[in-house]
Amino acid sequence: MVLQLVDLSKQFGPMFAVTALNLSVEQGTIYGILGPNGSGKTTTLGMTLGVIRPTSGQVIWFGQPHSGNERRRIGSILETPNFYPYLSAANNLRIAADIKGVDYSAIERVLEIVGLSSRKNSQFSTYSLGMKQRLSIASALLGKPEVIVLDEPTNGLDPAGIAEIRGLIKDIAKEGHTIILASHLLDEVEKVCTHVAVLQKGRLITAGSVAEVLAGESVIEAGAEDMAKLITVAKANPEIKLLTKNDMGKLELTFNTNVTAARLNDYFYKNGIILNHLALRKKSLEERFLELTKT
Amino acid sequence: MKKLVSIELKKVIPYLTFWVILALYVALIFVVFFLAHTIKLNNKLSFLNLKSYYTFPDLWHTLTYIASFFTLLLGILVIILITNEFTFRTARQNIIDGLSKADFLAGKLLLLLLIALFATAIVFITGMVNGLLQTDNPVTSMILAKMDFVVAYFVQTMAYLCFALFTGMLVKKSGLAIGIFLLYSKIIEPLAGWKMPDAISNYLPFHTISGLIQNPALKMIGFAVPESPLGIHFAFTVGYSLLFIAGSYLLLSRRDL
Repeated sequence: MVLQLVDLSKQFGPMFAVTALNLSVEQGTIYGILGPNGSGKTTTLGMTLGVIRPTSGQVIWFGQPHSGNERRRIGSILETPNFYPYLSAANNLRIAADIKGVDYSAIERVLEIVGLSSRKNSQFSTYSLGMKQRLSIASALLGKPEVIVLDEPTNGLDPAGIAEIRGLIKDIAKEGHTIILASHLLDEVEKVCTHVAVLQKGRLITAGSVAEVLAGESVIEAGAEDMAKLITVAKANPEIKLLTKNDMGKLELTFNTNVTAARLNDYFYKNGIILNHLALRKKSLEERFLELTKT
Repeated sequence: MKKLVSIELKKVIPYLTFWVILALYVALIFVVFFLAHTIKLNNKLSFLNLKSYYTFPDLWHTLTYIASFFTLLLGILVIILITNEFTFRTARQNIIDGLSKADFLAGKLLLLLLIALFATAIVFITGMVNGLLQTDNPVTSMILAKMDFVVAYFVQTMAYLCFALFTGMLVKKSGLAIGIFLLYSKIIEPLAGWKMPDAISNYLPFHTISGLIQNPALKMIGFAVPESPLGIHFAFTVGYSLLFIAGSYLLLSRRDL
């Protein structure tokens, strides 16, 4: 077990930012912490990294209570990239390397990985947002840490930058690092992570493998001249779990079993209905997410 | 410890503001002290024997007293260096990267120590150069006689810097922290002290720290000025420094970054 949170809570004045959070992150996973803005993701990561004092509860890294030394085995960025603006990228990384007890030879390698070698002697303040973000990832990679913690790593980047960072995260994971990634973007968690915990208002809604938690059910849209009859016939089918009428006047169906569009078309045809609309689509992640966070 | 010093030096050596303020401090001490002993009094006041203030051993007292005005610049420098860590959020990043909060503070204290040693060295060099030029027949015993003022200057500077460190930790914003530092030392404490009985006001932080080296010119008008700075004020100054350090540690360890 890489990281375990036990009943972790943080109170800011009268407000609970995080409430009795229990989580465990296994070695080798890419663990997503998903939640809307203000759901307590950064507060949670801040507590695991020793910059925010928990009101109660425990953070256990590598099976041991939090002491501070274990942070050298973790590479992290929290929110924005934080560097000395008047220092060059290389000098900023030298400070991080000193703190982590990592040899300076590692600096060249991490700058290479994030593609900043050619700008390593430029002052940090001259960097674009994307470059700043990449430098903080480089800093997190110093010394091949066992765990990498990334908080909203693609925040504020353009689509090309986002794709680049996501690719980078996957490459890093292939090298065997455990990654903990906080994001408010479902799509990011789905594309990058193996496991996910969903937070809302500081509470854990659900946690598990991405496939389990964000499993998108199939939805079939159907339409016919005689919608009333279509509904009656659909209700008679025991395989159909749920039927709703959407804004477009079409019927949306979900199923208890794996039903193909062909089989459904056949069923309606046999019952005397000619469909004029039949479409299979995945339930969107947004819908799934809203469903999860509704309660 | 060597590692902490090396980290702190990496932060300040390429930082222009650091060098500008240090250069200003050195220039002011050189210029003011060189100018001060060129002051000529008219004949009616010649009995005051100004020359003794600029020759060994009394020179150490005069020089450290003048230098103590410029310690303010170093205090401002320390506030800038501390609040930068909060503005850039690098204090947070340092901790995240694996520095403990105690190590972070220790690094800053070592930096303060280096700045105080530098300032003391500048004062010492200025004193030696001027003293050897001005004193007729300087002998070692004369040179060393009031060297305890140089020790006192170091302790005083360290105390000022610890106060600056504490202010920076407390306020976190450079402009505001500098404002509070100046307001407290120059206005609030003197005003508050004015209303208090001497037994208390004499031991307020700034009064104590600045009282470590008293104005040598007061001797001219017949006040008793301690001939050595190593008295009760010395103990109190060290005590206040430790208090500021403890306060800074408390702030750092209790607060979320």
